[in-house]
Amino acid sequence: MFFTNYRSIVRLLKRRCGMYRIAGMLIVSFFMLCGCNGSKSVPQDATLASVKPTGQVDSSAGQETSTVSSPCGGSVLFDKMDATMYQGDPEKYGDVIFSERSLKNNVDPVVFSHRTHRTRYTCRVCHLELDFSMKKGESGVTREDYLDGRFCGACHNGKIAFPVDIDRDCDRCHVPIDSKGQYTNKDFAVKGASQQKYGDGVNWVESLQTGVISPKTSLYNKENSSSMPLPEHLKKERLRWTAKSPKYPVSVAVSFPHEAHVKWLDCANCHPDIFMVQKNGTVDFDKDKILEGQYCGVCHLTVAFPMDGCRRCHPRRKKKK
Amino acid sequence: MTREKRMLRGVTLFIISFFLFTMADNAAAMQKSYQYGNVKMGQSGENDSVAPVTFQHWTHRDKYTCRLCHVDLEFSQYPGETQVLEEDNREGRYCGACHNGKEAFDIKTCDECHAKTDAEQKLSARQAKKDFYKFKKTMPPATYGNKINWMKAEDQGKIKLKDTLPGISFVQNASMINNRDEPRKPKLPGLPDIIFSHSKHVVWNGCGMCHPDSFTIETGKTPMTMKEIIAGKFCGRCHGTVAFPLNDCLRCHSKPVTLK
Repeated sequence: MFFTNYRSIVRLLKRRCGMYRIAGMLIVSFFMLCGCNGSKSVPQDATLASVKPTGQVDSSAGQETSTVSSPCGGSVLFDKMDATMYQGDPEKYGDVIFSERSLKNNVDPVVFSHRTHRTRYTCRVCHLELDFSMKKGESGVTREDYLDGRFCGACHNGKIAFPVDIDRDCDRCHVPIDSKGQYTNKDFAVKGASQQKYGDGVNWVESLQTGVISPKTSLYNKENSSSMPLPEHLKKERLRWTAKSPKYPVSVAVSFPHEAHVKWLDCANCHPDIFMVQKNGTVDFDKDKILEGQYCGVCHLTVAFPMDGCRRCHPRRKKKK
Repeated sequence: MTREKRMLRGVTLFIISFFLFTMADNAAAMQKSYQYGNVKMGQSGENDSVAPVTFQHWTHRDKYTCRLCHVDLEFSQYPGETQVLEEDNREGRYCGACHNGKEAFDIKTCDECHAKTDAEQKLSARQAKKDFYKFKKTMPPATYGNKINWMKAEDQGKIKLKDTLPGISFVQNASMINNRDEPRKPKLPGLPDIIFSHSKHVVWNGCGMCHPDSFTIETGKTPMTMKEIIAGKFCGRCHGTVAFPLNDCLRCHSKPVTLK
């Protein structure tokens, strides 16, 4: 993506000499090192980098590429999209490694598998009721927290799920990770679930519709668990619009189903912090931002189905009769 | 200016912006339940020898009504607007009205509110978190904000609220108080109706917190949209920062839908 810039710099350097040349060389080498592999580069935190699995999509890595956006047209966008495509092990898609605190204390990091939890609970249970942040490293879970019944400890107390306070079971969550970022995760298959070819291989939306899985929507409220009912016009049909961006010479049809989201999420997970409540009320909403991990990218890069499933959000346009 | 020069300038600008962008944290941090309603109070004065105070609404809400501080003690509802000075506190205004050794601890122990070093600040924040969770266990739970249902706590008598301070507050004329429920119809069909309960607000706020500045006194005459509320106007003045947040849709949109 920097090819055009790179060439012009080289041409320029041929004519210049002295300080400019040295500076230019530095610039070029800087680009080669950081800019060009921005998407695949490891995070700046050295301790974190050592435990990052190779195939895992990380939103912070995505941010680096997008910030160097240049007005080169659609190809840049495709480069970026390629970089965010998930190519790792489907079993490991959606795994989060809680390493910030554990590494400081010389404990193996916790490998949290979204896959195993999604069959039993919807997103809102943990990300709303249990205060888990959607951003990695922001929840700040301590041992004190979960022993007192917060975060993981809300379920992992021996009543709902296996307890966390017994020393023998530590390794069920605290998994050793080698220097290449590899770890072994337990085999876990969602029986009878409908398949997909990308992400974690399970079409969760369809599986929920067909009743293969029936996750709980709340830990505390038995009846009125979910959020507010949708207004009439959102119940009947999907939100549809055409996405245009001044940056790229393309316009794409978008279709967004509230119904499918509401089964997993609370209104509050998205509104009003990520998306405004009014249609077209969300400013700055474009594909670049999504690939940086904002808007849809908050979930649809790391846990919910990745961007490989293009047609699920961008349907083919119907020809006018 | 030659073409090369222009190009070179472009390249340098490009690099600078690259650095700036990578450093900027573009996602808002999530608010945790134990931090919900915390306000950092500090002015950049000439001698910044003391750290700003982190005021915790939750440590005060179980003892006093909102009205007491925001009307009688003249605390503004907007951060940074009150401009509390040390001499104010010493002469018994703002925090000093209660923190005088009689009603609450004396302000002479500066460290209680102004932590000096970073390590101290971290420690006090950690202690505050512990205290919060200890307190929360005794209160009725909620899903949003502080995760404490303050209204229910007051209803059930788990907290006793002081509404007046001797020598500062005037006793309100009870005959002015309005306990009517105000039904409202949302613009979009299918959404549950809104029921605004005066009686639930009056306990905490009296009349003067809302009327006539945020809301006109005539029924249904204040034009509101959800967007404006989210931006911090009308209900959003409290609901979103201190009172239960706007995410808690069903608390206001509380009447079951009746379609046709």
